[in-house]
Amino acid sequence: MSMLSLGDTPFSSGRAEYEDALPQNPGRASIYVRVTVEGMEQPFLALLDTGAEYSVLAREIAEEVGLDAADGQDTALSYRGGIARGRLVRTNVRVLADEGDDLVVDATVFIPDEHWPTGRNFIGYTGFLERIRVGLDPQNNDIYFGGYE
Amino acid sequence: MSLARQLGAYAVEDRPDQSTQAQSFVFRSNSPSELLRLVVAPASGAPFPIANGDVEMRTLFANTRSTYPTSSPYDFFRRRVACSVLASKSSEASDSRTLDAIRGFYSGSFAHKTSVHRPTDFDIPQPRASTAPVAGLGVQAEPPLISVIWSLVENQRTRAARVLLRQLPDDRRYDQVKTLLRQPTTSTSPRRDRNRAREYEWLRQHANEYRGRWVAVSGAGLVATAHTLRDLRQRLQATGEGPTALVHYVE
Repeated sequence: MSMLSLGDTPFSSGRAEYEDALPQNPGRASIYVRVTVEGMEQPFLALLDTGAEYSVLAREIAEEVGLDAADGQDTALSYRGGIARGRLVRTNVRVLADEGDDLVVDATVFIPDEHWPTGRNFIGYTGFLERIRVGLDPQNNDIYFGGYE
Repeated sequence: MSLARQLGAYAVEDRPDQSTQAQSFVFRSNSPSELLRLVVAPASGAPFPIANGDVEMRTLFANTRSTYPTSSPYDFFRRRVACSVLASKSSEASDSRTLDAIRGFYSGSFAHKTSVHRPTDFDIPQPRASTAPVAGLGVQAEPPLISVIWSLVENQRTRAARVLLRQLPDDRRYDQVKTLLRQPTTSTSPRRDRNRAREYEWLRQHANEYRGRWVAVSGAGLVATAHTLRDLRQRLQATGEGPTALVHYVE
């Protein structure tokens, strides 16, 4: 099901309401979308951050689904709080829809070591957003998303 | 990741000296015709083994009135570092070349300027009697391209890293880096979740009451809370709400 089109071309395959007013970010609009990963049925929130080089999956979640021990590459990631050490891994992340279809992304994500704020997840550009069409409807807190054929 | 790997060193004495805890690395600088030796040691404690020809970084930066970097992708600034030019076809003064090379290392810029040459491209001089030899040097057959690629990734230059990926040999050893750096693929899948407006509203109204804890919310109500995600999921299993609750850590 295509939710939006660009001319005759489907633009998105799913729509979801996003959250932008969590009390932990008072006065700052941050777009949180619902995702889940293989091995964990419960959905959780990830911050949509087009300025982030990589997506980040909180270590606690990675440990729950065994991604902390998955094949990957040790590396470092610069972020606002400094430089985080961790590991890049490849995994499926499911972006959850309220309408239309979920989008399953075979993504590269960074699993930080213990020096990372608890529970903080990001959807970044490289390895994730770079192959996703995204449209925002801020008046209704809707995000439209779809992959490329 | 070892420092040697980050530097792309292909001739390495990676074993710390027992008395000084210093490590030596030999590697190419920005210039493909230049080899340098880097000696890295802890910032304090054991004596620092500077040989003839080695220039300690802080001295070098002070003498040239350059600004000593305060951060580095290689974490040099918390260690004592000395460097010497082992081989160069440049007519510039050794100190000048060394400073240029080290500036590149600190900024990480050496990686994207470095082109890969086989070790036979270098004219490596015999160690002089007055210069302490780098013990145990061995020349690896593998070019440091893979290290350059990861240096680019660490410096958030993934596009440049992907360009270099094409130069990697077709070898299973490089499957992982090719997988990690390739563009993502997507597929659609039948929807699993439902609208979570009520859960979002609960978080807006009540999350502040649970700072520092994981919470699980379903509909308009809190289902479980715990200090770790593992405990939270175990409690969810007991409630029967396990698969449907939205989980969140309240910072």
